[in-house]
Amino acid sequence: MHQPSPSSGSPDFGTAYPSLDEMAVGISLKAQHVRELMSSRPALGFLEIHAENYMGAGGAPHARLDALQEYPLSIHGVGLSLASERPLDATHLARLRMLCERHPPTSVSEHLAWAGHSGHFYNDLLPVPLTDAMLARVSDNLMQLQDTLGRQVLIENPAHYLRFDARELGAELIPETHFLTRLVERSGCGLLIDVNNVFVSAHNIGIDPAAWLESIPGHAVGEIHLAGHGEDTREGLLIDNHGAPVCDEVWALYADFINRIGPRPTLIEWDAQVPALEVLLGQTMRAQALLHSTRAQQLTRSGMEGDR
Amino acid sequence: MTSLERHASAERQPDWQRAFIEALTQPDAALLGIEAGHQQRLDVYRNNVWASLISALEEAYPVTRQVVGERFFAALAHDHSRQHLPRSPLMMEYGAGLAETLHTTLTTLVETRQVSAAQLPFYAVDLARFEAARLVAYHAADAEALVPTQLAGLPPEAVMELRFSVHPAACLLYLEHAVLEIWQRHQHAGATLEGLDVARPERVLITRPALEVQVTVLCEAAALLLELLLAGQTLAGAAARLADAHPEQELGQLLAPLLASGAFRAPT
Repeated sequence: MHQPSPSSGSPDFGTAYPSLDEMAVGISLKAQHVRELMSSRPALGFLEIHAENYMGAGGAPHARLDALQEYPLSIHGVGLSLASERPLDATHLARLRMLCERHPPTSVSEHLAWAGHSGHFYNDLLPVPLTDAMLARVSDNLMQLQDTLGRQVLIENPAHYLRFDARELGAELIPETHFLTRLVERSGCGLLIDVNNVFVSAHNIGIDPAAWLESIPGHAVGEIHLAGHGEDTREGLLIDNHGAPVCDEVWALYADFINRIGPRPTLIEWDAQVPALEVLLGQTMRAQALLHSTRAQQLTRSGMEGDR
Repeated sequence: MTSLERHASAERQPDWQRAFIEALTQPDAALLGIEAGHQQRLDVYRNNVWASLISALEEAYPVTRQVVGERFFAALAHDHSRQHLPRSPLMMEYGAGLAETLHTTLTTLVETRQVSAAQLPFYAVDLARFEAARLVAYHAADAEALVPTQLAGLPPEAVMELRFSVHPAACLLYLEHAVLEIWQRHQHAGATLEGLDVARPERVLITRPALEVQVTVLCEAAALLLELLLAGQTLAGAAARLADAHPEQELGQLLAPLLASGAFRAPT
């Protein structure tokens, strides 16, 4: 088992590879938008794909990435099960490495979740009690992943729908933001903060979204996700369905967050009931405007400090 | 925490994810380690998992779904997903065996005398096989297809001694129904099977020489020729077998559509 090694021993992949521009705004790449993207070539900071959708041997998906390679690529995995109680699936890890070799990404990310068990895959991001044992497990898995890819990986906070019972689990639960912070220290990973997931989770399990974001170490944040959500009226839950525009509360949380930590590459994530490209581009413009105003405020602030 | 409790949790932890999975398959099961008031919220995951698998099958089999109807397909996909969970995170590969599940379902309906075979769309089983094969071809490895002009420069004897290597996307299907036309008619809204002899057996060659999946209907002799060549026979060897089985057919005419469809890989 690895010992925590916050400053000296934690691997530093940050400088070895290019990263997304901090002002970049991207969208999830969808097959139905490819033709229009190729003809209109909109100014986008990056395109993000779900890694697993591009792990076929060949054909149109790969041709699509080749045709759009002028855009920086973010490879976002959903199937590696970093928070599994079992070791990582070596076959899947190898597939991810091959994908990164075939279509060199500017950013790679995965989730603080698990999706598979005993050779089966459940196609969802399943929840995990955040214990010390799990911290060690995810950290080891992340280091193995980063070693395999030879680069830093960003890890995303999932949406929560239920609260765990520490007493029944027989283990102390670590607050999620502490868990993520310690994961960064131990593994050298970066963070992908999904602001909609924070908002949805806050509603569902009763946390303060602003305070949650406040306790995330800004330096570790390599990307931000913005998405829409739905509502399960029966249970009174918000569901992270990536099927709607970003809501006003999430925009406000995002604005405050980048105001504190500075501009960060931002994705408009929309995977269900995907709208016309222009709708997505409208959302990217709103994010871009907020990034610019944050940048302007930073410059003003540093200017004022310089005057003093 | 006492050392005894610590031991108990260490024992319990490794199995928690297995217990979670078990709770996913049981609608009202409670799961250790979740707050009492939040047990019902496991439904979110139950719903996400099964709904996502069903929707993956719907995406993979759009025409089969049209033919059997949305409600029947949803029930079929529900059964299939519970019997066959994905074996890997590659959802593009999920649902390959749906045709078998459909066949079993239809056969059971007949055997339990709920409905007669003639009333059921057994051709949808072939249609599902066809849609699955198209998807496999869509994601198959890229390779340059052999084109007829590459053979033009060779002396005829040399051509006869060639062993063709199969293109990674090529696949020959023997179907008991006229699936290609059924599939084509359902590319437009309001499709009917009027005037179509559905029970006409069909041999289809699925290829993907570039990015588009192509389908070529083959006559019996051409299918035999292809089968022999895919099995590694030389053209001369295949021709000899063909002369026995289909003496009326001309080799060049049978070979032309196979070459044109991109069934073989170009020499490297």
